[in-house]
Amino acid sequence: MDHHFQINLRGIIELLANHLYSRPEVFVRELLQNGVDAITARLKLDPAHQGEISFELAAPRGKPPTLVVTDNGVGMNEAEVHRFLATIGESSKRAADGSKIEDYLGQFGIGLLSCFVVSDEIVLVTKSARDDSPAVEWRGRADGSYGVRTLTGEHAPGTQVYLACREASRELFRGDRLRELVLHYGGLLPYPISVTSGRSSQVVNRDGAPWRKAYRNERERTEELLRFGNQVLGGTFLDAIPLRSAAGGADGVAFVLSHSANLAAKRAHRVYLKNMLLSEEADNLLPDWAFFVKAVVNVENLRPTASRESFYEDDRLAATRDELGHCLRQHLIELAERDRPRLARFLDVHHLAIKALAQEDDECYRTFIDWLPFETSQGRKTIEEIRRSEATIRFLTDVGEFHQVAKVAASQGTLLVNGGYVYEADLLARLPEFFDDVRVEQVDPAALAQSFEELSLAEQDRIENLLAVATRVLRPLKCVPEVRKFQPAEIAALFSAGQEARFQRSLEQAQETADPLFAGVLGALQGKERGVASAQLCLNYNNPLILRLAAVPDAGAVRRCLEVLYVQSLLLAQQPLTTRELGLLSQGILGLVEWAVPKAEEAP
Amino acid sequence: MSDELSRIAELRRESWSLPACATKVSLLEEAVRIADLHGDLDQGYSLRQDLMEAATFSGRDDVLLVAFAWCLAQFDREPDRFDRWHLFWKYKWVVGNAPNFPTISRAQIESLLDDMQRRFQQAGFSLHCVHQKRRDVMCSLRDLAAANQSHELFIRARRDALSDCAACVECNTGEYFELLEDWEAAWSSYAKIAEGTLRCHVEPLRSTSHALLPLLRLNQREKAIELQKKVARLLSKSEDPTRRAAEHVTFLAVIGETARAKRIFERYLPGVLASVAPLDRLHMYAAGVLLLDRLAAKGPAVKMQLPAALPPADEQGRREIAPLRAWLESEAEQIARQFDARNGNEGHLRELREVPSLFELGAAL
Repeated sequence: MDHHFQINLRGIIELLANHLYSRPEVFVRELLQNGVDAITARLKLDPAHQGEISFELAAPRGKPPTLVVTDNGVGMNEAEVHRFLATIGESSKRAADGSKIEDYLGQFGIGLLSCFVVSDEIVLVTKSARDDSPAVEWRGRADGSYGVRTLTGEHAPGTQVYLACREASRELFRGDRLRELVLHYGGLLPYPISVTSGRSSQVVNRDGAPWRKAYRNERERTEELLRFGNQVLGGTFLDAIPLRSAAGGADGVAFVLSHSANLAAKRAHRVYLKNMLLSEEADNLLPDWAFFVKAVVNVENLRPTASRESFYEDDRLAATRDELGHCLRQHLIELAERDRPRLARFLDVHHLAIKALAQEDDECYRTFIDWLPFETSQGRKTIEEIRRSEATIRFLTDVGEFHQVAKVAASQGTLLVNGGYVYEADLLARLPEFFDDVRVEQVDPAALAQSFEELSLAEQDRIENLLAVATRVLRPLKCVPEVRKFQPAEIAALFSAGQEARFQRSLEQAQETADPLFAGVLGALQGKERGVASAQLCLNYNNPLILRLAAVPDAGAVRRCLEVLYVQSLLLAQQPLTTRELGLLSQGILGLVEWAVPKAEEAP
Repeated sequence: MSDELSRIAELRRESWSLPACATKVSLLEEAVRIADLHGDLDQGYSLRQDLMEAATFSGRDDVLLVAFAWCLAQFDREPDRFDRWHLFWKYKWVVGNAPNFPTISRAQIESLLDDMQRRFQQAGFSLHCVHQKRRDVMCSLRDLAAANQSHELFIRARRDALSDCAACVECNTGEYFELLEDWEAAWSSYAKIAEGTLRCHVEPLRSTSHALLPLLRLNQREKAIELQKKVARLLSKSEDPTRRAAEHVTFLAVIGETARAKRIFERYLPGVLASVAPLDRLHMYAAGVLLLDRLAAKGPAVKMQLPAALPPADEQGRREIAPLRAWLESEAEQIARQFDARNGNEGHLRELREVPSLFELGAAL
């Protein structure tokens, strides 16, 4: 025959205490939730019913403090008590009355167990509002045993839960702490929740959701909301943006962070489900680009996952996210129309977020692009400023490349834009779609020399031999020479390397130190697949040394000089040297010394 | 000196604010360059640890290999100066990703595995992750016999601090079963993530994307559709979406959701073309062939936004399907042959040839 496992309830509760309920105070949430669900069910019987929940603390002398939680919800009869309170995982909130399970907050049927984390015994007195059955008392103990008896006398429909504090939980049975917790979890609930401790009794959630209240004017509303944000989220915020979505039945506020938002940070919004706090770390309710806000939102009809940190990805969530995103976008667009200084303050902190948004949304691109700042070779400038000075906007797509050429470009008076950060290259490339008179050009740093002044035919003749030697010398170093005129004249040769060429340099550098196995693997990686990515050495015709070198007849000496110039240009470009390049440098210097100092027998 | 240190600190801080992406790789490469320039070994080493992570999770396996080779050489010189565990952990990435480059020979890959095994063993670690990596690498090389052997060793080995996380172990085991064409077993591994609670840095996107075709083969079309919808959004949030995009295009093409398949194909193809690993291209091109076959049923030309490397569009932006398909197919075939030549079998080419027959999966439903 079949047998049933015996479950050690105490062990399960320890597990719950340590894992499922990561913080013991969630028993307050579970009790509130049960009360709210009971009232929701009662409202289905009697839509005019006035719901109410109370928490009463008592501290009898010499005994542990007790807590009584009372709701005037639908209650249970004896059969329901047996069924729902004796089976772990069973929930009374199944679709028995034709209502959908989503109407209720608690869906997992283990809420009451969380009370055992703080109390060794739970006593529950309940009277059903559905029928005339007598009130029932259920007494459950943490060892897994329970007793049920029916009660005589008058009882109003509803449920009362009695808890006696376990020694370890004393801190949670204090009036101030309990008030905080009730406000934390149930502050938005639409009926009164009172907390009584000693002689003091107060309705904790009198204020309700601050974004639903009427205000005298916009300014008062914003100030009030910012105060609320500061209180529940901590920190100060730049702005408070109202949120509303019909799809998810959502309403709330998005608080604009006062510090620059971090693209890699976890999104964590404070979300209420049917006015009960669900999570402080909900991560998928707002669009990805909205990383500059922290939201406080209530949703009526989205489905949370069991972890409570996300909602199920379904069409309704997608629609909700769109609508909430629309609220943010509209607010910013209105700001652009009405309050430029405030927008400027906003952009100062959150231009990265707005870049993300502009990339996704054409209307926002059009609205904001002119005000967005970019790093350029002439300092930080907005697109509007750049457009005004440049007919063709030239940009680089790599941060390293930009820094490599920015200084030289600046000394040439050339404006280059750094498009190396996320979104930026895309935004720059799309400028011509929005401005008829703007052309854009992506600059390859190895081709930067192309923008330098070219030589006349006569000048080319003068330098021809030098260029030929340079080509031969630099070929094994995967570098191509060119001669142009540029400023400052003191620079004899300018080294530049694109991303691929720099990668090849780092590969060679690693190969030199690696063991034979890895040297071989890196060699294979370098294979012909990748093609040859050349760096470039631009010799400066304005530099007197280069002109003198062009006149030296001794090819050997020219070679040595070019090798040293090459290594010097690497140092100038702040490139770490490979062993081979260090070798070139020392050989070159020795050769030059030998060349300059006559040998002993030749000495006069 | 302090200038150098403050610039490095600034670049590192900037990099921390970003998810793994090309910008992050660039910032860290720049910081590494500065450290090397000043001969700052400790900075150079620790920045490369960050660089390896950013590179691996944004699809720059070449950068990973180069940085790792450098670090390993420094570590061998002064083993007491650097942290062993962090370096060994990355050795798993190196070994796992080396097969993505067909120019790295099979002998070299096997030497890497042996070297990793020797080092881990000498340091007293369990071979759990080594056997797993060997199995997974053999799967990449399409050597099923060798993969089976390592799998048997893997399931007998004890987990330890170098073992992959539970989600990654399941996902890789799913891939192994998929290669054996044991769809039930593959799905049961993937399901622990796709329908379960196992999570990690790259999950649930990776396993759920893997699971789509096996689910079709198991006649679980509805579940596959639901799961695809569930993770589709994660694709755009992923740090390395190109590797998953091909799976979504293939799946959507098979079930006839051509509009969505086309959108994903258009969105991720440029990234795939720019990818350093030819394997990414192979999968995406194969998916593209499937998609074009579907689209061909509606007419001989299609409007598509594609990178310039592909056969061009006419003035209205329309493209002939036939030459486009031919281009994708021949590129894919060329890549498949490269891998097969390295692997010493015809696994990739055979898989490529079987791609058109995936339609039967859609038709059978």
